[in-house]
Amino acid sequence: MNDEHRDPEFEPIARLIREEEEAALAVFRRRDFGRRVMARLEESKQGKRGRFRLWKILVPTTAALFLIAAGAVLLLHRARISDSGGATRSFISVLQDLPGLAELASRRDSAPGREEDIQNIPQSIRDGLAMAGRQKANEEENVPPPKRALDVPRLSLEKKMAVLFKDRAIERVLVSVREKSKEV
Amino acid sequence: MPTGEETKLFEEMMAYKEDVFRICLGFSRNASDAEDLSQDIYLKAYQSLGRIHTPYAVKEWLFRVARTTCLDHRRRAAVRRLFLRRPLGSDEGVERTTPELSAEAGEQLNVLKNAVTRLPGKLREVFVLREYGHLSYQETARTLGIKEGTVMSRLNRARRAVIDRMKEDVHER
Repeated sequence: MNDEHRDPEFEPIARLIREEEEAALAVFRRRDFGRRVMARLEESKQGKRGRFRLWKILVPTTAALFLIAAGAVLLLHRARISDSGGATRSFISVLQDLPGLAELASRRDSAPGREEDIQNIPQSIRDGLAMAGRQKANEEENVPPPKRALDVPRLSLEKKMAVLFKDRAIERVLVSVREKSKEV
Repeated sequence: MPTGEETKLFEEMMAYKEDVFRICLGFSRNASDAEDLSQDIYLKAYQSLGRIHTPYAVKEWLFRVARTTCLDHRRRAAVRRLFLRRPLGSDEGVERTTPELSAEAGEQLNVLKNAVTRLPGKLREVFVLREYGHLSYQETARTLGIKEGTVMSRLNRARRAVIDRMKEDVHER
Protein backbone atom coordinates (compact mmCIF):
# COMPACT_ATOMS: atom_id res chain seq x y z
CA MET A 1 0.00 0.00 0.00
CA ASN A 2 1.68 3.15 -1.15
CA ASP A 3 -0.17 5.86 0.70
CA GLU A 4 2.62 8.38 1.03
CA HIS A 5 0.33 11.23 -0.12
CA ARG A 6 -2.39 10.47 2.40
CA ASP A 7 -3.99 13.50 4.00
CA PRO A 8 -2.89 13.67 7.69
CA GLU A 9 -6.47 14.61 8.52
CA PHE A 10 -7.54 11.22 7.21
CA GLU A 11 -5.35 9.28 9.69
CA PRO A 12 -7.92 9.15 12.52
CA ILE A 13 -10.56 8.09 10.01
CA ALA A 14 -8.31 5.31 8.73
CA ARG A 15 -7.79 4.18 12.32
CA LEU A 16 -11.53 4.19 12.86
CA ILE A 17 -12.02 2.06 9.77
CA ARG A 18 -9.41 -0.43 11.05
CA GLU A 19 -11.23 -0.59 14.39
CA GLU A 20 -14.53 -1.18 12.66
CA GLU A 21 -13.00 -3.90 10.51
CA GLU A 22 -11.36 -5.61 13.46
CA ALA A 23 -14.59 -5.63 15.42
CA ALA A 24 -16.57 -7.06 12.50
CA LEU A 25 -13.83 -9.55 11.61
CA ALA A 26 -13.72 -10.82 15.18
CA VAL A 27 -17.38 -11.81 14.85
CA PHE A 28 -16.83 -13.13 11.33
CA ARG A 29 -13.94 -15.34 12.43
CA ARG A 30 -15.94 -16.82 15.28
CA ARG A 31 -18.48 -18.11 12.78
CA ASP A 32 -17.29 -20.84 10.51
CA PHE A 33 -17.70 -19.09 7.18
CA GLY A 34 -16.45 -22.02 5.10
CA ARG A 35 -18.97 -24.40 6.66
CA ARG A 36 -21.79 -21.88 6.15
CA VAL A 37 -20.91 -21.44 2.50
CA MET A 38 -20.83 -25.19 2.00
CA ALA A 39 -24.22 -25.54 3.71
CA ARG A 40 -25.67 -22.89 1.39
CA LEU A 41 -24.12 -24.61 -1.61
CA GLU A 42 -25.80 -27.85 -0.57
CA GLU A 43 -29.08 -25.99 -0.09
CA SER A 44 -28.84 -24.42 -3.53
CA LYS A 45 -28.01 -27.80 -5.07
CA GLN A 46 -31.02 -29.40 -3.39
CA GLY A 47 -33.15 -26.46 -4.45
CA LYS A 48 -31.98 -26.99 -8.00
CA ARG A 49 -32.75 -30.69 -7.79
CA GLY A 50 -36.19 -29.90 -6.40
CA ARG A 51 -36.80 -27.39 -9.18
CA PHE A 52 -35.65 -29.95 -11.73
CA ARG A 53 -38.01 -32.54 -10.27
CA LEU A 54 -40.87 -30.05 -10.35
CA TRP A 55 -39.92 -29.15 -13.90
CA LYS A 56 -39.99 -32.81 -14.85
CA ILE A 57 -43.57 -33.07 -13.59
CA LEU A 58 -44.75 -29.69 -14.83
CA VAL A 59 -43.58 -29.98 -18.43
CA PRO A 60 -45.36 -33.26 -19.35
CA THR A 61 -48.48 -32.18 -17.45
CA THR A 62 -48.61 -28.88 -19.28
CA ALA A 63 -47.99 -30.59 -22.60
CA ALA A 64 -50.76 -33.14 -21.91
CA LEU A 65 -53.18 -30.40 -20.88
CA PHE A 66 -52.32 -28.42 -23.97
CA LEU A 67 -52.91 -31.46 -26.21
CA ILE A 68 -56.25 -32.16 -24.53
CA ALA A 69 -57.31 -28.54 -24.92
CA ALA A 70 -56.21 -28.52 -28.56
CA GLY A 71 -58.14 -31.75 -29.20
CA ALA A 72 -61.23 -30.34 -27.55
CA VAL A 73 -61.03 -27.16 -29.62
CA LEU A 74 -60.57 -29.21 -32.80
CA LEU A 75 -63.55 -31.43 -32.01
CA LEU A 76 -65.68 -28.42 -31.21
CA HIS A 77 -64.68 -26.81 -34.48
CA ARG A 78 -65.52 -29.95 -36.44
CA ALA A 79 -68.85 -30.27 -34.68
CA ARG A 80 -69.65 -26.67 -35.59
CA ILE A 81 -68.81 -27.29 -39.24
CA SER A 82 -70.99 -30.41 -39.42
CA ASP A 83 -73.74 -28.52 -37.58
CA SER A 84 -74.11 -25.98 -40.38
CA GLY A 85 -77.77 -27.05 -40.71
CA GLY A 86 -78.32 -26.25 -37.07
CA ALA A 87 -80.13 -23.02 -37.86
CA THR A 88 -82.50 -24.87 -40.16
CA ARG A 89 -83.14 -27.44 -37.47
CA SER A 90 -83.90 -24.80 -34.88
CA PHE A 91 -86.21 -23.06 -37.36
CA ILE A 92 -88.03 -26.34 -37.90
CA SER A 93 -88.38 -26.84 -34.16
CA VAL A 94 -89.86 -23.33 -33.85
CA LEU A 95 -92.30 -24.05 -36.63
CA GLN A 96 -93.25 -27.33 -35.01
CA ASP A 97 -94.06 -25.50 -31.83
CA LEU A 98 -96.50 -23.22 -33.63
CA PRO A 99 -100.17 -24.12 -32.95
CA GLY A 100 -101.77 -26.15 -35.70
CA LEU A 101 -98.58 -26.63 -37.70
CA ALA A 102 -97.42 -29.78 -35.95
CA GLU A 103 -100.75 -31.38 -36.65
CA LEU A 104 -100.56 -30.27 -40.27
CA ALA A 105 -97.09 -31.70 -40.64
CA SER A 106 -98.17 -35.07 -39.30
CA ARG A 107 -101.07 -35.15 -41.72
CA ARG A 108 -98.92 -34.07 -44.63
CA ASP A 109 -96.85 -37.28 -44.37
CA SER A 110 -99.89 -39.33 -45.23
CA ALA A 111 -101.72 -36.94 -47.60
CA PRO A 112 -99.62 -34.04 -48.81
CA GLY A 113 -100.89 -30.96 -50.61
CA ARG A 114 -104.56 -30.99 -49.75
CA GLU A 115 -106.38 -27.65 -50.09
CA GLU A 116 -108.20 -27.90 -46.75
CA ASP A 117 -104.86 -28.47 -45.00
CA ILE A 118 -103.52 -25.25 -46.44
CA GLN A 119 -106.68 -23.53 -45.32
CA ASN A 120 -105.92 -24.70 -41.78
CA ILE A 121 -102.62 -22.75 -41.56
CA PRO A 122 -103.07 -19.88 -39.14
CA GLN A 123 -103.73 -16.52 -40.76
CA SER A 124 -100.58 -14.90 -39.34
CA ILE A 125 -98.31 -17.44 -41.02
CA ARG A 126 -100.13 -17.08 -44.32
CA ASP A 127 -99.76 -13.30 -44.09
CA GLY A 128 -96.10 -13.67 -43.33
CA LEU A 129 -95.53 -15.99 -46.26
CA ALA A 130 -97.45 -13.68 -48.59
CA MET A 131 -95.43 -10.69 -47.44
CA ALA A 132 -92.16 -12.58 -47.91
CA GLY A 133 -93.26 -13.52 -51.44
CA ARG A 134 -94.10 -9.90 -52.28
CA GLN A 135 -90.80 -8.70 -50.89
CA LYS A 136 -88.90 -11.18 -53.00
CA ALA A 137 -90.78 -10.16 -56.13
CA ASN A 138 -90.02 -6.48 -55.42
CA GLU A 139 -86.36 -7.23 -54.92
CA GLU A 140 -86.22 -9.11 -58.20
CA GLU A 141 -87.87 -6.18 -60.00
CA ASN A 142 -85.44 -3.70 -58.49
CA VAL A 143 -82.34 -5.62 -59.40
CA PRO A 144 -80.80 -3.92 -62.48
CA PRO A 145 -80.07 -6.17 -65.43
CA PRO A 146 -76.44 -7.23 -65.75
CA LYS A 147 -74.41 -4.90 -67.94
CA ARG A 148 -73.60 -6.33 -71.30
CA ALA A 149 -70.17 -5.80 -72.68
CA LEU A 150 -69.87 -3.86 -75.95
CA ASP A 151 -69.82 -6.06 -79.02
CA VAL A 152 -66.35 -5.30 -80.23
CA PRO A 153 -65.03 -7.77 -82.76
CA ARG A 154 -61.86 -9.44 -81.67
CA LEU A 155 -59.17 -8.94 -84.31
CA SER A 156 -55.87 -10.61 -84.76
CA LEU A 157 -52.71 -8.53 -84.60
CA GLU A 158 -52.28 -8.81 -88.38
CA LYS A 159 -55.76 -7.45 -89.02
CA LYS A 160 -55.26 -4.66 -86.50
CA MET A 161 -52.09 -3.62 -88.36
CA ALA A 162 -53.90 -3.67 -91.69
CA VAL A 163 -56.64 -1.45 -90.32
CA LEU A 164 -54.09 0.95 -88.90
CA PHE A 165 -52.21 1.05 -92.20
CA LYS A 166 -55.43 1.84 -94.08
CA ASP A 167 -56.24 4.58 -91.61
CA ARG A 168 -52.83 6.12 -92.15
CA ALA A 169 -53.16 5.96 -95.94
CA ILE A 170 -56.57 7.66 -95.81
CA GLU A 171 -55.18 10.31 -93.51
CA ARG A 172 -52.29 11.04 -95.89
CA VAL A 173 -54.65 11.31 -98.87
CA LEU A 174 -56.92 13.67 -96.98
CA VAL A 175 -53.99 15.87 -95.94
CA SER A 176 -52.72 16.07 -99.51
CA VAL A 177 -56.23 16.90 -100.80
CA ARG A 178 -56.56 19.62 -98.18
CA GLU A 179 -53.22 21.17 -99.18
CA LYS A 180 -54.14 21.10 -102.85
CA SER A 181 -57.47 22.76 -102.13
CA LYS A 182 -55.64 25.47 -100.20
CA GLU A 183 -53.31 26.09 -103.19
CA VAL A 184 -56.31 26.35 -105.49
CA MET B 1 -20.09 -30.81 -10.55
CA PRO B 2 -16.80 -28.92 -10.48
CA THR B 3 -13.65 -30.74 -11.45
CA GLY B 4 -10.67 -31.20 -9.16
CA GLU B 5 -9.02 -28.15 -10.67
CA GLU B 6 -12.14 -26.07 -10.08
CA THR B 7 -12.37 -27.23 -6.47
CA LYS B 8 -8.76 -26.17 -6.01
CA LEU B 9 -9.61 -22.81 -7.52
CA PHE B 10 -12.54 -22.43 -5.12
CA GLU B 11 -10.26 -23.21 -2.17
CA GLU B 12 -7.90 -20.56 -3.48
CA MET B 13 -10.79 -18.14 -3.55
CA MET B 14 -11.65 -18.98 0.04
CA ALA B 15 -8.26 -17.58 1.03
CA TYR B 16 -9.65 -14.12 0.23
CA LYS B 17 -12.77 -14.52 2.35
CA GLU B 18 -11.73 -11.81 4.80
CA ASP B 19 -10.92 -9.36 2.01
CA VAL B 20 -14.31 -10.08 0.47
CA PHE B 21 -15.98 -9.67 3.85
CA ARG B 22 -14.26 -6.30 4.40
CA ILE B 23 -15.36 -5.07 0.97
CA CYS B 24 -18.92 -6.15 1.74
CA LEU B 25 -18.67 -4.39 5.09
CA GLY B 26 -17.60 -1.20 3.35
CA PHE B 27 -20.49 -1.35 0.93
CA SER B 28 -23.19 -2.58 3.30
CA ARG B 29 -22.04 -0.88 6.53
CA ASN B 30 -23.44 -3.82 8.44
CA ALA B 31 -21.54 -6.89 9.66
CA SER B 32 -24.37 -9.40 9.30
CA ASP B 33 -25.31 -8.10 5.84
CA ALA B 34 -21.64 -8.26 4.94
CA GLU B 35 -21.51 -11.93 5.90
CA ASP B 36 -24.65 -12.76 3.92
CA LEU B 37 -23.24 -10.89 0.94
CA SER B 38 -19.93 -12.75 1.26
CA GLN B 39 -21.82 -16.04 1.16
CA ASP B 40 -23.74 -14.88 -1.92
CA ILE B 41 -20.47 -13.95 -3.60
CA TYR B 42 -18.95 -17.35 -2.92
CA LEU B 43 -22.08 -19.08 -4.16
CA LYS B 44 -21.89 -17.09 -7.37
CA ALA B 45 -18.19 -17.81 -7.63
CA TYR B 46 -18.78 -21.53 -7.16
CA GLN B 47 -21.48 -21.58 -9.81
CA SER B 48 -19.23 -19.70 -12.24
CA LEU B 49 -16.11 -21.80 -11.71
CA GLY B 50 -16.35 -23.33 -15.16
CA ARG B 51 -16.38 -19.89 -16.77
CA ILE B 52 -13.08 -18.69 -15.34
CA HIS B 53 -10.58 -18.72 -18.17
CA THR B 54 -7.75 -16.94 -16.40
CA PRO B 55 -7.17 -18.62 -13.03
CA TYR B 56 -4.20 -16.31 -12.29
CA ALA B 57 -6.62 -13.35 -12.12
CA VAL B 58 -8.98 -15.11 -9.73
CA LYS B 59 -8.51 -12.51 -6.97
CA GLU B 60 -9.53 -9.59 -9.17
CA TRP B 61 -12.37 -11.60 -10.64
CA LEU B 62 -13.61 -12.37 -7.13
CA PHE B 63 -13.43 -8.71 -6.16
CA ARG B 64 -15.37 -7.78 -9.29
CA VAL B 65 -18.07 -10.27 -8.31
CA ALA B 66 -18.01 -8.78 -4.80
CA ARG B 67 -18.42 -5.27 -6.13
CA THR B 68 -21.34 -6.12 -8.46
CA THR B 69 -23.07 -8.20 -5.78
CA CYS B 70 -22.77 -5.36 -3.25
CA LEU B 71 -24.04 -2.80 -5.75
CA ASP B 72 -27.00 -5.06 -6.60
CA HIS B 73 -27.72 -5.44 -2.91
CA ARG B 74 -27.63 -1.68 -2.48
CA ARG B 75 -30.00 -1.19 -5.41
CA ARG B 76 -32.43 -3.76 -4.04
CA ALA B 77 -32.24 -2.13 -0.62
CA ALA B 78 -33.00 1.24 -2.21
CA VAL B 79 -36.05 -0.22 -3.97
CA ARG B 80 -37.21 -1.84 -0.74
CA ARG B 81 -36.79 1.46 1.06
CA LEU B 82 -38.77 3.19 -1.64
CA PHE B 83 -41.68 0.77 -1.36
CA LEU B 84 -41.61 0.51 2.41
CA ARG B 85 -41.36 4.33 2.56
CA ARG B 86 -38.64 4.37 5.13
CA PRO B 87 -37.06 7.76 5.66
CA LEU B 88 -33.60 8.29 4.24
CA GLY B 89 -30.82 7.82 6.74
CA SER B 90 -32.58 5.10 8.71
CA ASP B 91 -30.74 2.45 6.78
CA GLU B 92 -32.15 -0.98 7.47
CA GLY B 93 -30.18 -3.24 9.70
CA VAL B 94 -27.35 -0.82 10.36
CA GLU B 95 -25.70 -1.77 13.59
CA ARG B 96 -25.35 1.36 15.60
CA THR B 97 -22.74 -0.21 17.83
CA THR B 98 -20.96 -3.51 17.98
CA PRO B 99 -20.10 -5.09 21.32
CA GLU B 100 -16.42 -4.87 20.49
CA LEU B 101 -16.52 -1.08 20.17
CA SER B 102 -16.87 1.53 22.90
CA ALA B 103 -19.85 3.88 22.89
CA GLU B 104 -17.73 6.80 21.71
CA ALA B 105 -16.14 4.77 18.95
CA GLY B 106 -19.59 3.56 18.00
CA GLU B 107 -20.80 7.13 17.68
CA GLN B 108 -17.80 8.07 15.53
CA LEU B 109 -18.38 5.01 13.48
CA ASN B 110 -21.94 6.06 12.74
CA VAL B 111 -20.67 9.43 11.59
CA LEU B 112 -18.17 7.66 9.34
CA LYS B 113 -20.84 5.34 7.97
CA ASN B 114 -23.07 8.27 7.10
CA ALA B 115 -20.19 10.06 5.42
CA VAL B 116 -19.31 6.98 3.34
CA THR B 117 -22.97 6.41 2.44
CA ARG B 118 -23.30 9.92 1.09
CA LEU B 119 -20.31 9.55 -1.21
CA PRO B 120 -21.11 9.47 -4.93
CA GLY B 121 -21.05 5.92 -6.35
CA LYS B 122 -17.75 6.19 -8.24
CA LEU B 123 -15.87 7.69 -5.33
CA ARG B 124 -17.47 5.28 -2.92
CA GLU B 125 -16.40 2.12 -4.71
CA VAL B 126 -12.80 3.30 -4.95
CA PHE B 127 -12.87 4.30 -1.28
CA VAL B 128 -14.32 0.95 -0.17
CA LEU B 129 -12.00 -1.19 -2.28
CA ARG B 130 -8.97 0.74 -1.10
CA GLU B 131 -9.76 1.51 2.53
CA TYR B 132 -11.81 -1.56 3.45
CA GLY B 133 -10.60 -4.12 0.92
CA HIS B 134 -6.93 -3.03 1.18
CA LEU B 135 -6.51 -3.42 -2.55
CA SER B 136 -3.48 -1.81 -4.16
CA TYR B 137 -4.00 0.96 -6.73
CA GLN B 138 -3.32 -1.56 -9.48
CA GLU B 139 -5.81 -4.10 -8.13
CA THR B 140 -8.43 -1.42 -7.61
CA ALA B 141 -7.89 -0.17 -11.15
CA ARG B 142 -8.21 -3.69 -12.59
CA THR B 143 -11.28 -4.49 -10.52
CA LEU B 144 -13.04 -1.34 -11.64
CA GLY B 145 -11.64 -1.36 -15.16
CA ILE B 146 -10.18 2.14 -14.85
CA LYS B 147 -6.69 3.68 -14.89
CA GLU B 148 -4.51 3.83 -11.80
CA GLY B 149 -4.36 7.61 -12.08
CA THR B 150 -8.14 7.75 -11.99
CA VAL B 151 -8.12 5.54 -8.90
CA MET B 152 -5.70 7.92 -7.17
CA SER B 153 -7.65 11.05 -8.01
CA ARG B 154 -10.99 9.49 -7.05
CA LEU B 155 -9.54 8.18 -3.82
CA ASN B 156 -8.21 11.63 -2.92
CA ARG B 157 -11.56 13.23 -3.63
CA ALA B 158 -13.36 10.50 -1.67
CA ARG B 159 -11.11 10.93 1.36
CA ARG B 160 -11.51 14.70 1.25
CA ALA B 161 -15.29 14.33 1.00
CA VAL B 162 -15.37 11.93 3.95
CA ILE B 163 -13.27 14.30 6.09
CA ASP B 164 -15.52 17.26 5.23
CA ARG B 165 -18.75 15.38 5.80
CA MET B 166 -17.58 13.97 9.09
CA LYS B 167 -16.64 17.48 10.23
CA GLU B 168 -20.06 18.74 9.15
CA ASP B 169 -21.75 15.92 11.03
CA VAL B 170 -19.75 16.53 14.21
CA HIS B 171 -20.62 20.27 14.04
CA GLU B 172 -24.30 19.47 13.56
CA ARG B 173 -24.29 17.22 16.60
